[in-house]
Amino acid sequence: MKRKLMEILACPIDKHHPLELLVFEEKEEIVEGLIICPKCLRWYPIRDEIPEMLPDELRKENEDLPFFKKWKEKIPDEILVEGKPFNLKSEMQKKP
Amino acid sequence: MQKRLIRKLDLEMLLSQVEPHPSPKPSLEQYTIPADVAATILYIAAYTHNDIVDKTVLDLGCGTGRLALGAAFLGAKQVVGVDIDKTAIKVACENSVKTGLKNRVQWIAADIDVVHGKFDTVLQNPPFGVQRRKADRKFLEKALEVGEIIYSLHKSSRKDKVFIKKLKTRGTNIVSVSPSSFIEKFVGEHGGTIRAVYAMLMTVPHMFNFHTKRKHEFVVDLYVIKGE
Repeated sequence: MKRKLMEILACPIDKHHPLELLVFEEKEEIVEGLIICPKCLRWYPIRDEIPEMLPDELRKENEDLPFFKKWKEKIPDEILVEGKPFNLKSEMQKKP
Repeated sequence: MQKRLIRKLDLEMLLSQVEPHPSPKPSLEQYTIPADVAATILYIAAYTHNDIVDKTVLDLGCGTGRLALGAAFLGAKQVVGVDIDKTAIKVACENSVKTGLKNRVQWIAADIDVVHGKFDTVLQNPPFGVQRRKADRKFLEKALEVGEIIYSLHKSSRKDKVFIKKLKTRGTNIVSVSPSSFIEKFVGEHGGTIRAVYAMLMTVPHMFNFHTKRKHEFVVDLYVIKGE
């Protein structure tokens, strides 16, 4: 995904625009990253250069959460705890 | 940027390299537009109406990317393809690498609501609403919102053999027809105007269990619509 694509992306759930972009790995294009809706706090993965902005019912926790955890050092706390559709709230609260 | 006229045969050859969906779902009415039909649509858009070369093009419900890649090949400035099916988008991305067009097309795995802003041209082959009623309305609404000019493929109600024979025998395989009253009304209510309608014959191979014949042949209408 090219950075410029952000210009035409809205949150498919609440239609908010513009969205926020976190880049984790970038070559000629963004290889891995996260797109965040600042309004509803949904996060969408960019994997293999493709932004995946699917509705909640088509998302798979067992695919998305490992990706989310892999990059948690680079994700703001607000999204880690309150992010939708999956987050690390229960996990983070266990911490001392 | 390619400015020269591209031969239709070269376009068809490129489009025939585009791999179809490995496991199509009936509920999304996923079939790949035959290369000849895709080439005809793109040719009309590019050279009859001048809506592809140097334009920003959006392919809504792009599947494995045949129309999007064809538009890039003909010289669109930037092309974006959106499809809710992640597998289809992965194949589309592989197809763009295979055809050497990766740098010209961006793919998004998402519902069409994800698109914001304006494009010069929208190309779409929406679900016909045969399996899911009214499925094509949402596509028309979105296209009218984000597109200056829309090329939208719809299933025709024409089934008569005489008309089909006419489509088979004419050299160009396309016939100008009048719009369906439903689509005309729907487009009008959403601020659009129908510029032209072209009927063409679509032949898709047997794909799903409910297709009883080996080949499924039907008439489709290509609507050229001016957006709001």
